[in-house]
Amino acid sequence: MKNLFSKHRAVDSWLFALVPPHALALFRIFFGMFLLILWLRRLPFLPYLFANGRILPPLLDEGIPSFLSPFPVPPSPEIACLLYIIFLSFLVFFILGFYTRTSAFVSFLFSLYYWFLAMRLVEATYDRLFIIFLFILSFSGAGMTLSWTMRHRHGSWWAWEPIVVFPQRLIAIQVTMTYLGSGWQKAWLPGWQTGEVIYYMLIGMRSTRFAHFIAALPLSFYFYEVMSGIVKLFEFILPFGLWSKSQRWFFLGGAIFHILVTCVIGMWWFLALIATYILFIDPEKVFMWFEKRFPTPAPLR
Amino acid sequence: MKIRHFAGYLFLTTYLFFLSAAFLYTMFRIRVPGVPWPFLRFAYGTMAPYQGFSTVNSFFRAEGELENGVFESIDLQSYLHLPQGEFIILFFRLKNHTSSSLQPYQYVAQRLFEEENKRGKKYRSARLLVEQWPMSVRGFWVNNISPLQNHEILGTYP
Repeated sequence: MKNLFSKHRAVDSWLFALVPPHALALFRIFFGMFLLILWLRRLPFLPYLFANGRILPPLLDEGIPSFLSPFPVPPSPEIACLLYIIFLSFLVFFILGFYTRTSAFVSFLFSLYYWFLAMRLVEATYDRLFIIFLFILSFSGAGMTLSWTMRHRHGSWWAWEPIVVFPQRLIAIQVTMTYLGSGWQKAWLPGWQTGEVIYYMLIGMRSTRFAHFIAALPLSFYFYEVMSGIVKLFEFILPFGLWSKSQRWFFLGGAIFHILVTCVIGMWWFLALIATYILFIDPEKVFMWFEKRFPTPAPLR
Repeated sequence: MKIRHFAGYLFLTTYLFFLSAAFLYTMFRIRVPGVPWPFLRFAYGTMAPYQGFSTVNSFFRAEGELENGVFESIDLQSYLHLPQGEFIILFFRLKNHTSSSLQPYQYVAQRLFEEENKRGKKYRSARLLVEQWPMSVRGFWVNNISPLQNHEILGTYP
């Protein structure tokens, strides 16, 4: 009984402890900048994606609750432009830590809106993950350091206040499950049992020049089978490795994996997952690392 | 237990329930009863691996018919800002994700016809087609030449 009680306390502490906000704040900044770049790239095509000038048909049949059905109706280009500017402004506020929770929540609502409006057609993992991250961050303490809020409250961007670790754990759990699902399913997916997926990926519709360069090398099919095995093995253990004591090697492996994916099939948006690795590190350790390099001004300690 | 902790546990349990349902669906295609399909589909999409591959290359193109009956190419990508792979996947998936009362490719052809008209191109008709050709290690477009390439018209307007 006593053991059970202490385990409950350990779980309680793991989920709800008050910790320094630096890990989550750094994630906020990198993730926010990533989102800003992603959405700025869509800006020139705004009338054709998110306004009534678009060439895509409406998406009303599947998966949208009836109370949301008015939202996927695209507005006029002028209104769409205005909405987009508001959205981008809130992303900037989010990066700067200006009313961080509100900024995150408004950005989440906009992301959801654009998801229903058009992005849902692409059905990409990354868009879904980013929506979830924004929602979680909208009730987090990600703005409790390196933010306008701290500048306003304490006179310095470097000032900080402790936060509840719960949102950080949630994002880490989500990333773990993402790797778990995508890694483990490869264990039985037919294409992944040989090197077929890797080979056709290198010469397929997403492939880059670098990918074609590799495919043109005089390599036997055994090479692709070995590559497939390495990817499967790595992704199989990655969800656990991120939480292990040797996590830094898995961070490195994950980063190399995502960089290679970018170089080979151009899916650069998964690079954002590298930024989430900081959330797997003990927040106290991140704080100490940060404090060593960028000490908090004495009056604010 | 504090109310906030209780709310946290409740949220976490619900969240884990959806993630577990998505994981079950990802691994074994088992649908947990009571989990609404839109939520399951969304959660599944956060963990779906790279699984499909094609052994031929495909690309979607649009064409406008001039007064003399000759078709000229419409820059379809000027309407959609997406990387090449996403662009192709979008058009493949288009038919599954639209209102059943619409022919999606026909709709795209109609919208292109209208938009090109606004841009000053007076076509007699516009059409959407998919081209397919054998893959090559030398590049995506290398085998997109007439003896190897075939195409299918997906929708025409008017």
